[in-house]
Amino acid sequence: MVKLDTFRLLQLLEKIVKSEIDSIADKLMDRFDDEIIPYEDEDDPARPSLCKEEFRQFVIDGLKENIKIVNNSIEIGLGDDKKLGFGDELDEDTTDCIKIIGTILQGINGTYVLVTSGMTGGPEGRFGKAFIMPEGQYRSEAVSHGWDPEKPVWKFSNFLGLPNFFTGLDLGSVVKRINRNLGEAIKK
Amino acid sequence: MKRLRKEDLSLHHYLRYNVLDEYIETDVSVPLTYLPDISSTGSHVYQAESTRVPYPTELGRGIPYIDNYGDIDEQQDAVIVYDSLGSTISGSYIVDYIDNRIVTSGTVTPAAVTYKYFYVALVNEWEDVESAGVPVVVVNLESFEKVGFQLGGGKRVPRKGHLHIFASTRSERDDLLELLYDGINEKCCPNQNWPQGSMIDWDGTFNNDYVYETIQYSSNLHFENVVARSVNPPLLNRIPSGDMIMLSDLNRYRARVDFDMFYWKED
Repeated sequence: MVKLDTFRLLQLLEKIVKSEIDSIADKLMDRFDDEIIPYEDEDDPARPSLCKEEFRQFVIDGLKENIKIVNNSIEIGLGDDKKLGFGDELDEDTTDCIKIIGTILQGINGTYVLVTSGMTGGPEGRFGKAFIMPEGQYRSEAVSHGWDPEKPVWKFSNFLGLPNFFTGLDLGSVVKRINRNLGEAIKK
Repeated sequence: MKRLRKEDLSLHHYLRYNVLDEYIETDVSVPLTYLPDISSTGSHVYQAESTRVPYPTELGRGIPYIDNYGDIDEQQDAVIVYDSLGSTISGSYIVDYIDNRIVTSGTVTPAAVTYKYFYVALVNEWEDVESAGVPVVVVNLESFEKVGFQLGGGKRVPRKGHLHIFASTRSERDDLLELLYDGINEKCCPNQNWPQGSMIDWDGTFNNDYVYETIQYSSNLHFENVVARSVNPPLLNRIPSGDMIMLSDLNRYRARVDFDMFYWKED
């Protein structure tokens, strides 16, 4: 019979969980398809489906950093809170896509226009330095800035958000595989 | 009334009178204006004309119907009506809690009113936030799935819930966040049956038929997995050029309390 101390066992488990990062990200992206994509406007140049790969990579990077041994268990952290808009400190050193998805996850109250490089002529990022403005403010200021005053409102205006996006993910099949792989690793 | 609605009402009532009661303000000596168009013989209607912002009777606010959480009789301390000489009028009027009005039979002539009101609006719909104005708390309860919890016929009925906080300043937001977190974390509230409806009648007056009763064969509403966090929608936080006016204050100071609410029932 093979005997392992707890720490060694957790190290093994951590390694196996890390090998499943893609599968965990896939599960989350299924949710992205189910819960975010249906709301988007196909004509919107900044629609979330264009951000899908970038968001998936963001999730994977977050998982790589946030699968850790904590006390006697493995903790899996999903997403980077500071970039997605949780907490007091917002890390704006990220892409517009992550800002857009983060804002969708947090929800927004009121009607807004998403201002992109197409309107500002700004060179940065895929869409320029994206930001949103209340619709009324946009309509009144657009002409003086040389923007299109008839720009449609952002599809995700007045939207409750998806507060459960990162919770209750069905990882049953992934966990089964982790258990199986852990059993095999212990035998070795 | 359906069970889901009763749970919503029970939670709302608990938050309103047992948690957000810390945010009750008093509007003093507010002039009353007679409304001849909606008055009739034996029913004289007076409107309180407050200058407070947010307006005391805006959506989700209003005068407390009861003095303390758990009371079943109409408030006695929240409204004081005065005549033109400043003397207190007692007992000869009814209060319309929805519209902030005093209704008399004509035997007295009210001139001013002092009343308490909820400074923080409590609403059920995300869309109502703009109408209510900050500070406002949105109660959002999601659907549930009933699961067996023990041998026998009992069920555990959980629901996911969220309290979305919109405040006017950072300190107000932080205060509300902590207040609401402490108000539900490791706490429970009665799962009321509301057999004669809510505390308010169709005409905005106190429902004198109101009955306090909990649902039979059902536990209290328990709260667990309570998590509080501030929220900063990332797209809101930076405006590239200095000549634009500030963003909407509505989304500026936000927070959220996530929780699971559940009860056990035996049927």
